[in-house]
Amino acid sequence: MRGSLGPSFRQGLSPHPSYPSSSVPSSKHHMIDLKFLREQTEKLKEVCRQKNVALDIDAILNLDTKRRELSGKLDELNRLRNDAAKSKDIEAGKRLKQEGIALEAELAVVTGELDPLLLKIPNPPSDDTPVGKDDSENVVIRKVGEPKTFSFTRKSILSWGRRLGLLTQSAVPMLRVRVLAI
Amino acid sequence: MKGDLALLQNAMHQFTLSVLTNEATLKGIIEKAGLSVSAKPFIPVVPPLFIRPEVFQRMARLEPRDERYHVDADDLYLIGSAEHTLGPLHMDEAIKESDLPLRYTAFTSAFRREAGSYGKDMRGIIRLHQFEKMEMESFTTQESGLEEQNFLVAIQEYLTAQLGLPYQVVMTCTGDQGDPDARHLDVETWMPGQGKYRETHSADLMTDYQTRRLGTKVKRADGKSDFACTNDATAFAGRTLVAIMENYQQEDGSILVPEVLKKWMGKDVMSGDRR
Repeated sequence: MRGSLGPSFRQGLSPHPSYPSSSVPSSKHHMIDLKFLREQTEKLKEVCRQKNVALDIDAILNLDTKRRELSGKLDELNRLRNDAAKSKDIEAGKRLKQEGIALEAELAVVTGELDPLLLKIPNPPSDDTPVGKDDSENVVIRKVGEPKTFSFTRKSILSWGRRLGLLTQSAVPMLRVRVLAI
Repeated sequence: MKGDLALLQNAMHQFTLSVLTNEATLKGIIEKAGLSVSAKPFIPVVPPLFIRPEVFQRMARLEPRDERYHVDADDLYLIGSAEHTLGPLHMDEAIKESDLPLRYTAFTSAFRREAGSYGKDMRGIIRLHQFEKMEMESFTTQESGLEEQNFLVAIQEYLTAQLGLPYQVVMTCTGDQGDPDARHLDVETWMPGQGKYRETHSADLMTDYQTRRLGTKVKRADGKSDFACTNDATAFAGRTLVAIMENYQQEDGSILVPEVLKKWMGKDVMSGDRR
């Protein structure tokens, strides 16, 4: 989601460099379409419940609104600054610059809080995904082949794999802690 | 792992590659499963085992971070799956719609700290911090993503059935699904040693969850563009070797080689290297 002013406009202000582009959140921070957060908030809360993800969606929405407001203010301020530069109003230019620095700092704080939360928003499940709390509610959709029965007592892979020379002597004791190392 | 077991892993790699790169075989799998996806073969890749933190983040796989191995001196992570370095192949790129689907496969070591699974599978080779796995990764349009996932599952089923191993297909529920997954299926193979089906393959439909951050887009015929869809799925992992060893065990302790692997193994029975 970009602000109303694209980066090209900002670059157009080059004689009076604008504030850094952090006011334009990069799309790489988003795992979901932010329209989903803004327009289907209740559905997103339901998704979080279904996927056992503890996230305060209202708090995220508030931060998102705040960021958009600040971003809009900053865009407006840049416009005024540009006008001031054109009319050579040095006094106004200075004041606007100070205001911009303050806004920029505020925006950085909001972004710092918001971005890590956006990363945690889960992908909504497909329509045919069964709703359930844990693996006990997974659904077997087909079974193929009959499990074989053995007429003899089977051996454990560890002892018998070593006897067959399939696993190295030195690795077998280590396997008891899942590590393969020399 | 050594001797016949090392050969068995190599045979599995060769056999799986021969399936994934053969258009006629893939066509047969598609027809049998009643799907209408393209039979475009997979492109084999040898991807990096190291991944930069920012790329890991853009893959939505950096978390759970305590599951990852980090090399401090260079600020790099070790991959937990070949998916992690196959997924970014088209980072910041717009793929022409007519070039889709794009399918890749890679056989790599994978590294997992298994931090959240203390007490599970502590003995044996079913859950290791380092293991080898062959992975499938595909890029499609959003609208064909779900059918592509069904195709990847059909390939997993074909591979398992060709090995003569009994299996079941499981659809995971919302609570057991990973946060980045939109749809998750597992193939669970019968493990006689444990007397139950255990997960040997998984298939994740990611929709645009990864590509939104990776900047991987589809350039449509009409000039518009939107985010691509990714799917990742296991082709085979070390657990399949365990399943073979358990299902093909003979009374004298030797292990029969599954029919389809014989030509890659160069032998019919694994009876140890008798050194």
